[in-house]
Amino acid sequence: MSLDYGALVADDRVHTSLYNDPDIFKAEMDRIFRRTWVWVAHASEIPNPGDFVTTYVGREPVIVSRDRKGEVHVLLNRCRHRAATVCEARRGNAKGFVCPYHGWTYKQDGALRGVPYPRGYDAGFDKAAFGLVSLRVEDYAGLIFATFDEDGPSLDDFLGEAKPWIDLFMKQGGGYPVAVGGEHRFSFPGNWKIQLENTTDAYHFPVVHKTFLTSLDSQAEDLFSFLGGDGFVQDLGNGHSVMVMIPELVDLDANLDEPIPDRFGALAEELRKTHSEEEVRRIVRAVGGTGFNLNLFPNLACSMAFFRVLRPVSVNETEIRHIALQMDGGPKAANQARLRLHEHFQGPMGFGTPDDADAWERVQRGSQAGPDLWIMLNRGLAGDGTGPGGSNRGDVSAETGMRASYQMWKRMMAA
Amino acid sequence: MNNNISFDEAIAFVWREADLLDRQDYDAWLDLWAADGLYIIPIEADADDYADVLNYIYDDADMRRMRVARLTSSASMSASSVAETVRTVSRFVQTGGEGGEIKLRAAQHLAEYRRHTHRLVPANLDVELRREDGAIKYVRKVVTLASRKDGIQGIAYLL
Repeated sequence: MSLDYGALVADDRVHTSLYNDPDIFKAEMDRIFRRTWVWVAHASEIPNPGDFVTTYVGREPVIVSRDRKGEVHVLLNRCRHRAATVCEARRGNAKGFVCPYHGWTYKQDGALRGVPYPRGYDAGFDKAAFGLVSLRVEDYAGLIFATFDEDGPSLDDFLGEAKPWIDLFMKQGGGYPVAVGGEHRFSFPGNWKIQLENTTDAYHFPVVHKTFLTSLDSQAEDLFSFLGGDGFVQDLGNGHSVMVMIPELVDLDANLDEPIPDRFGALAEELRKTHSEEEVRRIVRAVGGTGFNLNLFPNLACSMAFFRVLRPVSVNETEIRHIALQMDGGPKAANQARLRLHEHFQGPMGFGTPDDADAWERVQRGSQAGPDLWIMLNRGLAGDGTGPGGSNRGDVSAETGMRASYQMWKRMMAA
Repeated sequence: MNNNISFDEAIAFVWREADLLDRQDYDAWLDLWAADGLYIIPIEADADDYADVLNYIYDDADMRRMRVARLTSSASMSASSVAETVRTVSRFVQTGGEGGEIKLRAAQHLAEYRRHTHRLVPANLDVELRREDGAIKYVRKVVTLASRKDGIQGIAYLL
């Protein structure tokens, strides 16, 4: 059966079957996750030769490995002999990878180094043809992406207008490089696109996150009450979008003379013991992250102060990682503050995430009703075409970002 | 006045807390803590200092108070469809204690029932207790989940 995928995405709505049809999910894995750039790691996770992490591209397990020359490889985690995974560790440092089943050994770049008892193979056995399958890899600003598509656009072209926003996001190092610093990992019983939508959904914030807002001091509560403010959502092309919630925190290097918020007063005092006033202001301003969420289709969000990574597991199961960020080599007090802020909102026991996860679970459950109904994405439609260069741009609560993602979905699925 | 806490007193204190938490008497739970107490649910069990790494929970007195406010507010979607929990704490071992403080390690078996589903949340507990003005208080409680390295779904109660 071949579905008309294009008919399932209109300008202002998408069909409910996108959340719960297993055939559509299977097609997404082939047409999206096997064809586009998928984020796999941040460079700080594998700083040294031999460092590796294991992750997924779509549903396929991969190893992200840095070889002895410093080059990064993304390798299918599957022995070319009889398919066993060659690495089960989440991260580590290794000279290479050994299949536990029959002992085939691979180098850090995936090349087949040797097989036990080679005389059992014909003389024509060509080791060069049996390396771990290697994906195309490119990176931007420390973000490492991989794709199965050897002939598609460069990562540079794919990211396009999202790149200046990535550069702005990385300013939260406060003068230090941004490095990952632990993560919260959880799953929810729902389709991956429900999470994809959420990253540029300001509309839910005061409703779902009321208890988070009331746990803040009044200054911070004002800051996060951005629904009536000057923020916006903009379509950045190729399914990417940005939602600016707090315009004054878009550029963390600007406005360093602004008063330090009360909640960071004690941190600033601590930092003044070892840093100049200018450094203190820069670090303190960066410690809470940026004022925007950048959604990179299909699986990464640079979300205020952390990376949100989604992994589709099945049509109704998705794994989420919320990766905390640190100032690499930065002051201990500032990095501790970043960790505590992350724990406050994120994770299975944070003040925000459990409520998000509950909402998404209910979307999936509710979508079982009315299989002929549509998911409405028409909020802020009037802003389409009104942004810079005729781009789509709406107020902060507009569903512009979701429409951008689904137009890319349509382009890839109907191709 | 002898400030020491006996092994039996310490066990009775932890059991009293388990009973409070299963009954969701969170305001009474707040009173079990010393002002400088830390309530920690780590991800990296062997970290030298949990302050320097990401945890699930790293709560001082302010965060505990806000957490209880959130759990008892009707405005939280996840906390309002509350799970029933039944927990047993056992296998107590004294791991230290001097100057009026005592340290224990214990096993916690917690069964949760929520939305037609049972879930087991086993954990090791490491606790430090101190007597203040005659009352035993938590100085530190570290709940090390067996599943800490892999994803866990939202937990809308206290461990």
